Amino acid sequence: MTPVLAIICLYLALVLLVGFLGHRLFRGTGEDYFLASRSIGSFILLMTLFGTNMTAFTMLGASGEAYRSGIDVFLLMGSSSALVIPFVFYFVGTRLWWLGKRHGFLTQAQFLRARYESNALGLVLFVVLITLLLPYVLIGVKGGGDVLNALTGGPTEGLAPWVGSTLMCAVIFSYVTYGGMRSTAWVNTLQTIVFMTVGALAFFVILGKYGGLGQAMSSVAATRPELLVVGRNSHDFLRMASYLLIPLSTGVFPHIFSHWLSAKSAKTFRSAIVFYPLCITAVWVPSVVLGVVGNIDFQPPLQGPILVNLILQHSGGVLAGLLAAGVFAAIMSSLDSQTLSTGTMFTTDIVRHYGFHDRLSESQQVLFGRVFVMILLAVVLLLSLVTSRSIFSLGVWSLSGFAALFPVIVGALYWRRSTAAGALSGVLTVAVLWVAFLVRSLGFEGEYTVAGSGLMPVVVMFAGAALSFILVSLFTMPPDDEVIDKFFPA
Amino acid sequence: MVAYPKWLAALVFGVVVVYLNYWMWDDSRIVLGLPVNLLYHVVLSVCLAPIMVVVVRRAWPRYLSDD
Repeated sequence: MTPVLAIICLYLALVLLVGFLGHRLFRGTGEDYFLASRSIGSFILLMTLFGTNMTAFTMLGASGEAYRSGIDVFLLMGSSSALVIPFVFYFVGTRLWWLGKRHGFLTQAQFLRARYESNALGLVLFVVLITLLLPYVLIGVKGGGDVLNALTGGPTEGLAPWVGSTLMCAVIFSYVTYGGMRSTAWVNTLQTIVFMTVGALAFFVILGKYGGLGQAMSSVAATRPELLVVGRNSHDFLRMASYLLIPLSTGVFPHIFSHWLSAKSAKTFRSAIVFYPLCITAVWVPSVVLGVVGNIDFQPPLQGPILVNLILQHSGGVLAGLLAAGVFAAIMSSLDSQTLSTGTMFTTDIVRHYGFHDRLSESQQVLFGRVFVMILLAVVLLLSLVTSRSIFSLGVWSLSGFAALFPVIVGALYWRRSTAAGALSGVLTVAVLWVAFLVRSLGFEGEYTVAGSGLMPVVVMFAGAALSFILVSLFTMPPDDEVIDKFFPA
Repeated sequence: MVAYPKWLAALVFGVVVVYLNYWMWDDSRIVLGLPVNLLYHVVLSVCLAPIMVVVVRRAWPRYLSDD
């Protein structure tokens, strides 16, 4: 067994151990399984929210995109996230936590169903959220397989991508279904610490081989100066402004919603709100800089992700193994939360809601959730074998759909006059536009923008959802005062 | 009704304007080892931490204080 494989196996064993330790505190209730009895403290909340948001998209997608297009990826996705996400936690997260605690909500569909007294809305939202989550889960599963393949010898000699993907899914399935939210949060904390530490290690080791940051950037400036500037025309301005909407997806992710609701108190959010921008900077800057620096030694077409190529070229077996474990940690810290949230949604929004609540015991209901998780992971695993889209483009499509639903969530939280019909039309508008843009983008070379203007589809979807939500709400009967009193603080 | 202070809206608008540093996107200088645009956004991201400290201390919604 090579050092890389040995270290990855050791790391996965450690992850399983922490996951199983989390299970020892399990209280045997649904709320404990899905939300750790709303007991998560400040540090674990920060680590788990951050780890959950950092995916293969960040470690592999961002460095890959920086390799191709330069530093602008940090402006597009890094600093925009540092700016937007803390405000999303502040305005949306704390408020949803407050409502969740009062009314015992576990999922977004459950919240919107109660807020608007509409079963149809809950069902449509469930379908849309699962559909949008699929490509995002796919990114992680595909990323894990690609990394292990590249680290063990590449397309010809390395382990087939399905081996890494299956291994990752098996480990995640074990601790998520066994320990629920508490195990997931604990493992996420471990994984976040691992990938932040290892990311910093990779940054310094690899840059050291190029004579330091300044020397490496000067080399890039001499050969590929276009990678170090941001284009300055209307196309680039529209693209940049469009990307500012993407981090709003955090306010709609089902897995982030679950983590918010697991917080012990409202004050628990404060650390996450304050330290999130620093965590983003600590992870995104190394990822983007290494992607850009990769141009010094590697010319396209690349075999495997640029980050993995750099790791293999500039670090020895043990260090490569550690760095590989870091990449696995980043991928798994998202995949586990996404997986758990799909189980929570299926159990809460389908099994419990549609009549099985009285006929099945609590443990049987949780079992349904586990089976759903297993089926979902199997489907994603199969899809990861046939999809050829880049991690970055897959990620942007998924995030765009979630971000476009943001007006519906904010409206439900802050706009008393909003109605069920308005919310339903907002969700359906996003679904229709998302499918329409996705179909249009198929076969499109490079990044798809609306009519080639630089405007990302997310802007049209977001505006369409907001407009239909507002207009339909204004033309339908306002909700009862009784409902309003339940959902708005005095 | 949840009341947020008016300066909060100005703050959000202000950081968005500062984020879109259109005026220097074509500046190719390298400062402190980083392309100047990247450095600008790193500094902006780091500065957001103390800004958020002000937000959670000065504009924490009253209804959340009871929990």
